[in-house]
Amino acid sequence: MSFIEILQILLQGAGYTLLITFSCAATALVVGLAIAMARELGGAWISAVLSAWVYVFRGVPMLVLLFVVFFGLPGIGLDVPPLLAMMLSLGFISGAYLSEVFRGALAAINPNEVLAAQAMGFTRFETLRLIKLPQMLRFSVPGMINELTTVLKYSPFAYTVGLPEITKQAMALVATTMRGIEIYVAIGLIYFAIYRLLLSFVRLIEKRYAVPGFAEE
Amino acid sequence: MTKRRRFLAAFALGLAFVTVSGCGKAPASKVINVAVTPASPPNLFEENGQTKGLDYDLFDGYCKARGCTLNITAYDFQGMLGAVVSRKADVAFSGISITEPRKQVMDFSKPYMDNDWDLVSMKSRNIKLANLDTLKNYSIGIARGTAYTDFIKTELEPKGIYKVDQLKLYPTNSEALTDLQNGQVDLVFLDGTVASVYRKKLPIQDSYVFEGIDRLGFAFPKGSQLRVDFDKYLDELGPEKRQAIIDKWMK
Repeated sequence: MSFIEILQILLQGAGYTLLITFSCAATALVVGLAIAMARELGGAWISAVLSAWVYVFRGVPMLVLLFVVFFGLPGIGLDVPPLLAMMLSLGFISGAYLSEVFRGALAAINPNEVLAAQAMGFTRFETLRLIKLPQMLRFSVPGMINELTTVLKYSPFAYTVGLPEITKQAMALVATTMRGIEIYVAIGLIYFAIYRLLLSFVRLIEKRYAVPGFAEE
Repeated sequence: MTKRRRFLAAFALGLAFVTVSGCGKAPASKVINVAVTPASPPNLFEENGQTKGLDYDLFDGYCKARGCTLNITAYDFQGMLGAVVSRKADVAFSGISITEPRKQVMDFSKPYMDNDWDLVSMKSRNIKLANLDTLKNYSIGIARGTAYTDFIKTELEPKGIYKVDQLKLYPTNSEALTDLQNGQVDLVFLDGTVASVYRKKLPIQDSYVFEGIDRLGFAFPKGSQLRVDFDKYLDELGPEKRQAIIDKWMK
């Protein structure tokens, strides 16, 4: 079996790896944005509840949450399919991290702009939508890339719940061929290629939405 | 804005679809959900994308006799056992040892084969153990979630032969064997069946063999009717035919 053949077999799992990464990243974005916005708009008690939520989801190990969601919830009559289980565990954990990235980005916004908006009679929601959010999203790009990469690298957990992604292909192949080093090098190359793809995608979006003259590096 | 809204709507719809499609379960269908770990040759492995092996042949024989189809999902070992316990799978097989702790959460078929446990080492190291007195001088690698941990805890640790804390844990046998080749671990615990496959591919030898302690079974959720019927099938098959299937894969 040549190295190319190994790559071909492993690539059969690449579709699932991409699917898992994108669905979990999308969930994380929705959850992270929702938390960040609710923190901005809600009162003190909402903020306290959300802080507790973020604390829990950042602290719980990925595998533990995945087991609870996938193998535990059927016990109370909720049958969760594998991909949804990944979104509810990896997506939610990652969302908690992203909300902190967003919090940092919000803090970086010039408070005078917010004051000016208030002086102009903007409501809190308008200030958030028109002044804070557009800047926050641009400020958080580096942090978001970090988090997306983490999601990609956590995607092999999906094998535990039966999604045949790349790592599963590799383990099945190693079991019959015993050529561990070549196979794991091949898998590393594939993950690197996917990472590169994600990076180019984010850079493209970043460029598309860059404001000329604003925060240029 | 509309584009973004459309994306969000599609996302929400997708989420809803995934949820709904997961909830429907066909009543009394002839499709049997199977959980396997395709890293356990010759009991179960994948070749050219096909699930194969001794366990597969046995269960496939049952399914052919009863007119059902298999819906196979590959998990890692812990995930496979979890799938049976949580009833995500109707049956699991990949050279699963019948143990007391497992019996408390799942039902096993009649044992379909006896299995030796081998402590293997690199031939170049030439480690031969006449008895277990010196075992504690060596590091042992095992695949996580397997029955060996339990065996060491209940059988070896009380006698002062070996401590569970001394074990080195790996995700699967493959990683344990890789570390064995790298010289990071002295011995690796393998099923006799698994060892017979790896002896052909790697310069390893048996350093010690535990005989007659391990029996393999098919795992079913508690109270499974399928298990009753499968046991019936094993009886119908008879020991000769069953042994023929085992021999086909072991030789």
